[in-house]
Parts: sequence; C-alpha cells; structure tokens
Amino acid sequence: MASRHQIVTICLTYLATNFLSVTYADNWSGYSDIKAAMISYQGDTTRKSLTDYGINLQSKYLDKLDLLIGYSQLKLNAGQGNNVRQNQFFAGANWFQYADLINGRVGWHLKGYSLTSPSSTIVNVYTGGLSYLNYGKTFYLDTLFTQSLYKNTQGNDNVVNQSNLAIEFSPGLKSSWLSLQLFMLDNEDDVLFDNTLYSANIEWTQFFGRSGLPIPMKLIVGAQLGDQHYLVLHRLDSINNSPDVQQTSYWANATWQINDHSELGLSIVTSEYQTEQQENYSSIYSSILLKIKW
Amino acid sequence: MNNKIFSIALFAMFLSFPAMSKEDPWQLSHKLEAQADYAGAAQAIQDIIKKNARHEYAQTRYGWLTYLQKDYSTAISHYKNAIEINPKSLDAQLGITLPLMAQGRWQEAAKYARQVLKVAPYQYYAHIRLMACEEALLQWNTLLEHTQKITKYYPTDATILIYLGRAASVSGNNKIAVDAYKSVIDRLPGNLEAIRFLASNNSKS
Repeated sequence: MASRHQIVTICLTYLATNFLSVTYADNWSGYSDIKAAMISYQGDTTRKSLTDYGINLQSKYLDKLDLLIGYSQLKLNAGQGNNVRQNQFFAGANWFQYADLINGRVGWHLKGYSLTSPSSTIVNVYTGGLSYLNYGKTFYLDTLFTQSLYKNTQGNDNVVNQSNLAIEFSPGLKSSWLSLQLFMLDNEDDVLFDNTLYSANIEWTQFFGRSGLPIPMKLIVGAQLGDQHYLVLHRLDSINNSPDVQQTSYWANATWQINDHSELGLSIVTSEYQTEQQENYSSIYSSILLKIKW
Repeated sequence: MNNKIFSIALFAMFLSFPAMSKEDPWQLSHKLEAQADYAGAAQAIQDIIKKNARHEYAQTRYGWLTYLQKDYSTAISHYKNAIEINPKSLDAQLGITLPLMAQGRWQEAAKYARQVLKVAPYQYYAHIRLMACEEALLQWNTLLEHTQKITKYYPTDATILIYLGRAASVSGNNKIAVDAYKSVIDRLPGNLEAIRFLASNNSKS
C-alpha cells in the first residue's frame, strides 16, 4: 500500500515528466518569492516573538502548468533564552485546462507540505482540489481538501481534515475583487475544542490604476469570521500548527509593482487566540515579500 | 434508336443534376461566413479536412471559423495543425493568438506573436496582439518601450497610441501619457478613454 507521500510524489513526477518532455525552454518562465516575517505576542506566557524567512520558487509552463517548491525556517523565541526552530518544505503543481463549454479555465491543484521541528510535532499536509476562473477573469471558484497529519514526540497522531470553498468575483469593472473563503475543520481528537469548526475569511482587494510610491498597485483588507484551529492557508503556504484556537484576525496588504520583473508586498495581521486553559492572548504579524520574475 | 439515345442522355443529365447543383464548398463557406453563419461556413469545409487532414488552408480557415463561434479550443487545435503542416505560416501563427487571447492564455499568445515578429519585425497585427498581451501581463515598462518604438512606424494609428497612453499612465510617465492621448484625440476625436484621461488630468493640474 503506497503512502500518501509516495502518491503525491508519483503524481508530481508524472505531471512534470509529461510536460517537460514536450516543451521548449523559451516556454518557461518563473517567479521567486523571498519573504521575511515577524510576529510579536502580547499576553502569551510561552511565546515572546517569532521570525520566519522563506523562499518559494514557481516555474510556469505558458498558461498550462505551474510547478512550485518552497522552503521556510521559523524561529520561535519562547523567552528565557529558549528558542525553537521549525523547517517547512512544500512542493506542488497546478495544471490548467481551458473549457469553452463553461467559458473558463479549470485548474487542478496538488500540494504537499512537510513541517519538521527537532523538539516538537512533525506535520505532513496533503492538499488537492479544483478551481474555475472565467475567461473574463471576473469570477473564481475553488474547492480544496486538505489532510494534516500531526505526529508528536510521544507517538500520538492527530488527523485534521480541512475543506475549503472559495467564491470570488469582481464587483466593478475589474478594479476591485471580493473574496469569500469558507473553511470546515474537522479534528476528531480535539477534546478541548469543538470537533468541527466552521469559519470564513472575507477579503476586499482594490486595484489602483497606477503604481508608484505611495500608491500601491493593489491594497487588500480582510477579516476572519469564526474560530480556526490547525488551519492551512494554501495561498500563503501557511500552516497554523499552534495548539491554540485563533478567534479573530484582521489583515491588510499593500503591493507595489517596482518594475515589470519585481513586486514588493507589505503585510500586517493582528490576531487573537484562546489557549486550552481558556487564556487569551494576541499577536501582531508583519511581513515583507519580494517577488521577482525570471 | 434515337429515342433510346435521347432517353439515356436524359437519364445521364438527370443523374448529374445533384452534382451540378452542389455548390463548391469554398464558395459556400465564404458565402455563409458573409451571412454570419459561422457554423455553416465551417461545416461546408469539414469534408475537405476529413478527406485530407493536411490541407493547410482548410485547417487555417476552420480555425478562424471556430474562433468566430467562440469554440476556442477547437480553433487552437486547427491552427496548430496548420502550423504543423507549414511552420512558416504567419497566417496561422497570427490566427492562433486570437483564441489564445480569448481564453486568457496571454503567455502563449505572446509567444506566437513574438514568433511572427522574428520573421516579420514590423507586422502590425503581431505588434498589436503582443501589446494586448503585455498589458494583460502588467508588463507596463515593456509595453511603454514597445509602443514608443512601433508608433514611429505607424504614426497615424490610434490603437498603438492608446496602448502608449495606458502604459505611460500606469508607469507614472504622465507627460508621455498626456501627449499620447492628445494624439489619440487628433486621430479619433470621440475616443472616450482619451477624453476621460485628459479631463481627469486637467482637473488634477
């Protein structure tokens, strides 16, 4: 019986060889995302701050296939000189087909994450799903299924199943974009919190006609509705493996187009959490992201 | 005897009537296209492709007619057949950009437009379609340089000037944008985009 890891590897290898064998070098383009982030915690007795550095590489074959790999390293300052390091790897592929019958593009998505930490839990995450984007790029829909496998040092396994549904559209002449992402998190072993959590992320994007300081190319503001626990945010390649429930979150992101080959993004996120002991604390996340096209 | 000959001749004429009355498929296809019956126009030449899949003109024309029916994937497939039959065909390479752009496949459409420009560096439609791709891919500086260069070769053309105005505006080159949109007004006095840009620019200054 092949493991999930093997199945994901076989699928990715199949997709890669299938396309690489029939393509030419000038059909490929690529992006690098270089990210640095910092989180400061208020009212948390176990965490003071956290830093996260990462690089993602995306290789695109025309408008048909994306191959993605990424690595990030996270360092948690637990206070009193105690630091915890965590490494995250991921690989994924997006394959697009064009269907005139439904006047749009259908995307097939596959992604696998591995999160390792020498002192705590190992997490493996597998995601697969489908998306639809109309040719006019005014309506988008996706549905993703994710399974997160947590293995802690005591050998206790925990499985979290996550289902996503995203409905997004442009309410006005492509100058704005409204996104609603619905999440269902199912964690059978969660004895302290509800087994099934329902939540939503709502996000507004405003595109500006011109880019240059101080006006960004686009500005995003968003908010979380409902509790989230062990949530995987695929778009940000973020795995929230904290044992605490994230109760509220608000965020803003501004992106500037520096030139045709690079973009700079700044983000800020404030969040509130509740621990298993019913204690509350909050965090402020800030990040800078440089996207370079090559 | 004469009666028999006459009867045979009459019978032969009768048999040849359907063939005589059947319109030439090309003629029929062009006639139906002119009547905006694109499905009929494509249907008229379908047998030609069935009999000879390597008929270059039939493949190219079928690509065009299915593009007009918004059957973009079929159009792309037939244009690709035409390119395979004759890799030098600029018609097919330009033709395939249209359904690709309609499907939002800007990278791929740009690739074919660039292929045309390698052989025919000042081909108008290849430049216009590449400009549309650069705009969709938000390559504003590339579009600005591209339009500034090509407008010198097509100085009366308003479309290139509109792309120039957009690229200059978004990339923060306001003076270039104003000059470009003023030139658009000279060529297309009622152009709404140019009128709106110049009006908003006047109100700011």
